[in-house]
Amino acid sequence: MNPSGILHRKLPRRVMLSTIALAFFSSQLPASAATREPLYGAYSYDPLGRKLSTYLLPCEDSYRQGKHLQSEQCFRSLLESSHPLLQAEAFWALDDLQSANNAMRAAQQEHPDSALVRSRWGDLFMQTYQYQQAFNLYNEALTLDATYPPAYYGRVRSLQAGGGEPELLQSSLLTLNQLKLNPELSLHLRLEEVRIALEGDMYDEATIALANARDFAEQESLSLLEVISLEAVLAFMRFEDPQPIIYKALALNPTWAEGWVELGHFAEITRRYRQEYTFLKNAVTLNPNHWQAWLDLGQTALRLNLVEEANEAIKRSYAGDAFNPRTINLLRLLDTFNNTMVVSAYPQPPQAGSPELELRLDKEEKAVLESYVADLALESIKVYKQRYRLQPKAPIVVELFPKHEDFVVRSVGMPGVGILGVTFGYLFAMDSPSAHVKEDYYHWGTTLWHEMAHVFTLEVSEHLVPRWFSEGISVWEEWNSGPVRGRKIPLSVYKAMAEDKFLSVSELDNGFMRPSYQDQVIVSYMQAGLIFDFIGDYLGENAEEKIVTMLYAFKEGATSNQVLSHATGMTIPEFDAAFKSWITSEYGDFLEQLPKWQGEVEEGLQALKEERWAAAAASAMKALSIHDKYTEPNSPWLILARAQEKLGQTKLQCDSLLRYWQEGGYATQPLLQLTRLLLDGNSPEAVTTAIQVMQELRLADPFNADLHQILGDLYLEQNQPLLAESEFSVLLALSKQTGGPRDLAPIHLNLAKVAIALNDLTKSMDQVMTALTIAPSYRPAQKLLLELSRLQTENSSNRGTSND
Amino acid sequence: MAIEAALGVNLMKSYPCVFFLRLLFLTGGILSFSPQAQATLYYVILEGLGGTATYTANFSSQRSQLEAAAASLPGTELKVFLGEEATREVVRSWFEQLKLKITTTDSLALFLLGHGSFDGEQYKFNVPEIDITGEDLHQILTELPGGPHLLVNTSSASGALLELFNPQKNTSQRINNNDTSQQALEELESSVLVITATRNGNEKNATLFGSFFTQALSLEAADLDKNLRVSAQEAFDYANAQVEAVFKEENRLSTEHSQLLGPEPKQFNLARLDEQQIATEGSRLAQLLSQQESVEARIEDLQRQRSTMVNSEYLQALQTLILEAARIGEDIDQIVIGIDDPAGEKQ
Repeated sequence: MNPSGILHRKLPRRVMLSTIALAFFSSQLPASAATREPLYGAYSYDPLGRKLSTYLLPCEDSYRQGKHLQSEQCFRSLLESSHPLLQAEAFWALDDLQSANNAMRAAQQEHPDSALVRSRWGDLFMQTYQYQQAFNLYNEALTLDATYPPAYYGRVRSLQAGGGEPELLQSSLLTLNQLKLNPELSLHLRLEEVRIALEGDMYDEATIALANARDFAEQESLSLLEVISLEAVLAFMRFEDPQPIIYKALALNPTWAEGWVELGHFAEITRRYRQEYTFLKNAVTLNPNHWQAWLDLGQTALRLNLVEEANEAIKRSYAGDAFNPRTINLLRLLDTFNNTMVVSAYPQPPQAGSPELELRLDKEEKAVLESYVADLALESIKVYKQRYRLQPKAPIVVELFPKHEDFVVRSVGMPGVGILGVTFGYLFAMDSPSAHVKEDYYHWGTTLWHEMAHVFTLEVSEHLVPRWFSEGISVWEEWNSGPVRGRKIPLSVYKAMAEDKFLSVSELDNGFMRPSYQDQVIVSYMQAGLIFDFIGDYLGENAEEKIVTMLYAFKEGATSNQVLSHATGMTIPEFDAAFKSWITSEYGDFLEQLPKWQGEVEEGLQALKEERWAAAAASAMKALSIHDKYTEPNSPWLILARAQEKLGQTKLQCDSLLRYWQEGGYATQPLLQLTRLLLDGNSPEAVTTAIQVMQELRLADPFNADLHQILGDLYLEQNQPLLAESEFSVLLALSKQTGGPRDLAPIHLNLAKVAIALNDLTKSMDQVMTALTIAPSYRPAQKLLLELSRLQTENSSNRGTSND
Repeated sequence: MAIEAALGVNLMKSYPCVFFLRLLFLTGGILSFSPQAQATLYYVILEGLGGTATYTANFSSQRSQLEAAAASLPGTELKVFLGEEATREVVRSWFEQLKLKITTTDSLALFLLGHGSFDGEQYKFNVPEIDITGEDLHQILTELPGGPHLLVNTSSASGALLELFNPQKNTSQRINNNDTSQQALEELESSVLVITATRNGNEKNATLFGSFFTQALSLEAADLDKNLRVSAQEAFDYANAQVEAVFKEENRLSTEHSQLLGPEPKQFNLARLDEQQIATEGSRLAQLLSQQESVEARIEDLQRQRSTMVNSEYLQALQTLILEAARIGEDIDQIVIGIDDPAGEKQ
């Protein structure tokens, strides 16, 4: 397929040059000028406000026009005002938030009935991220004036930022829409609608709303700066050059950094981090006191692996705005980067050119994880380089965080998000297996395989691949080339399939970015993966190659619909219908019997709980007769195996666990149990399978000491000393972890045996003496020492004889 | 030639279990292999009030494990206080009697299983009627002749006792396995070895430590030096690690931090893990066991001197002693195989 048929305009690269041009404008900015939200006409609603606005607005206007020196002088003059609210505004504008707060308190005492004062005080709390206090003040303002729009608007913002009750937020929004608003706030809200349309990729709607907003602003003689900024964003989202449009705003206000910040936001949500970085560099060049821009720049620099620059930017942001929790989180994270993470480059030993891979691991975990992570990452790079016809231009950086919240802060700045991995281009971060110690269902190897696929899909498409397509390929790779083959679909997704909740492919991005029900994100992941399995079946021969060609088309600016239609020859409705039909052929029978299957699984679990083993086995077998591919939590294979164990049916139990593993199950304890059963069987084939099970299990639970002990022993028995040495070395590394093995003498004894197998007498003596230093009475080690000592004597004697 | 082949044995195979057997020999009824040779170890268990059925069962289970551990050690005299009889008065009275009986070569291990409290000034262990105070425990243990004696208090707030038993030092100067310098040991020579479940009196949640500590006394996994005995240090280390692992696994802030204070915890054995074998006095086996005991004692002496020696010299000396022990062990094994297998089938 030739992608040139769907060629679209490429994003001009002139954007990259804009930083230099902007240096001129920044010279006008006094150092003390701070970033400040516009007033949105807050002073226009009551007589007190209107009276004070005659003093305040000239200062504000100067600032909005980029005349920061003039604005600063104006605000300084207001410090002498006898009115505390004007003083508060002046302190605030001059970045003295503590004095502003004191003046606000004085203003409130002087004007206890003023909704304006309380509302502005609430705004000040919003600026310092104290959403609850802000919310309280907005409510107090509304008690004084139930129709005061700025207080309603403030309440909406505080509820949004502070994660307030959705019902209250909704009702506040409704009320706000019914109020008579001043033109400034009205324009601001119209522009919010434009942002929502842009974030939803509804560019036609955004275009109309933006044109209306421009007309309105012009009619009301309002500032066009925000309008122009969003016009630049619209251009950017349509792959046009936003810079000429931003220059129109800069002609009105040469220090207008918000335009670049706005562009940065949209570059971020469309994962174009390098462009985001450029936009934010422009922003801080224009306004070095734009603390939010410094923070965003820091976060983006971190995503681009520019750690030092990120450090500087985030510290710069903190120096100006010490209240932002995201800044504080990121500073803490940088401490983690500097103090506990270590970087190692691959291949080892180094070869010519830059490294292919860099691992950033916690230093406490490095000895356990490094070899497994490096091997798998290098393997995935090899597979993907060939499949996606891409030679990476920089080392791919892989970070594993032992603390989930560190990983989340690294990814999005704030904790509390349930993600496992995030890819930013040539860098991805993910949870270390130690972040999920209590869970049996985190397979870090699969997560790594998934994220590495994103590196290639993002780079191939120059970050223009739609979310669903990129996720779909990653899931497809997991299932078809990853460490645990086969589709692993959670029950919630089967339920969604049965309820016909799959979206049209043209709307699938919404399932990821604007989920409308609890499990929609995971449902969307699975749907995207299934779409690629379907495309693979549909396209038949060379399907893989054709999928890669589709990916390349995004680089040229093609849309999902164009790419799909071109590749499959179907319209989107036809594609959706064909996919649905394929789903029916794959899962129709199962989905029809899903309630029955669920009933049998639940009955099986209940029977296990009540120790009715035969009943549990019967229910599990009925469930398996309906669908035997389910290996997620509460798999019927595991119910059956447990029941068989209790019934003393060891051979059948082993068979059930084996099927569970063969179907893609990877829960640690059942697989360790399988391993033991296989080893008890003592046949060479069973031992080979046991080794294979454990090798795979390392990609799920590498911190499990039993796993390395058993595997190390097996390798020793199989005379594979180097592999055994690796496992016993990991065991030693694990001993330094909380909960790791503490009985070190047997590990050193095993390492001594490894050295013997490697014909290294000196090392063997060292290891056996280490074991005996820990445990002098350890008889097996004593015996080995004795044997080694006799051998040494014998060797010396032989040398003496031969010398004679 | 490969070393493995040269050794003439398949080192990958496990060793016959006979290597793990420890032997005792009878000398006029006295089991001479006891770490406190010729002496009595008084094993005293005080089970406090459980309050709820769950705690009561838990403490009872810990007590059973301690009783089994006591039974495993030769030369041990067990005393258990529990239920309504475990009052302050009864306990104090029993210790008054013990004072008259205990000799200077004897030692005592006192285990407190139950709930404790600390009001900021005084530690109390909950028993029927009047609670036993920290001062009571201090008086009981410091007035006893002999020693060193061991106090293991697994209760909540038990760390309050640390200051009481070591008033000249603050708790940061605790002596643990990593700080057994001669000077520190000498300073504490006459004091009591104290193990607590918490680091101070303010850790007041019910503890996990006791369950793991008592569990350790029958576990090979706790016997890190492989001498088939579980010392106070080993049981402490095992329990401490298990408690840490539980809090880590549950992603909770730890509410207890166990402590160990006092001299030579490695030398204070609380249980043995092997089966007892009998050797007739004057026999070759008895001689070998005696030699083995002597070598092990020399190894222990050497270990104590480690910090004063150059590492290479230490390792050389250790290797020499261990080789000696290994040769004796080999001779013992040959005799034991003969005892176990009179028909000589294993030979």
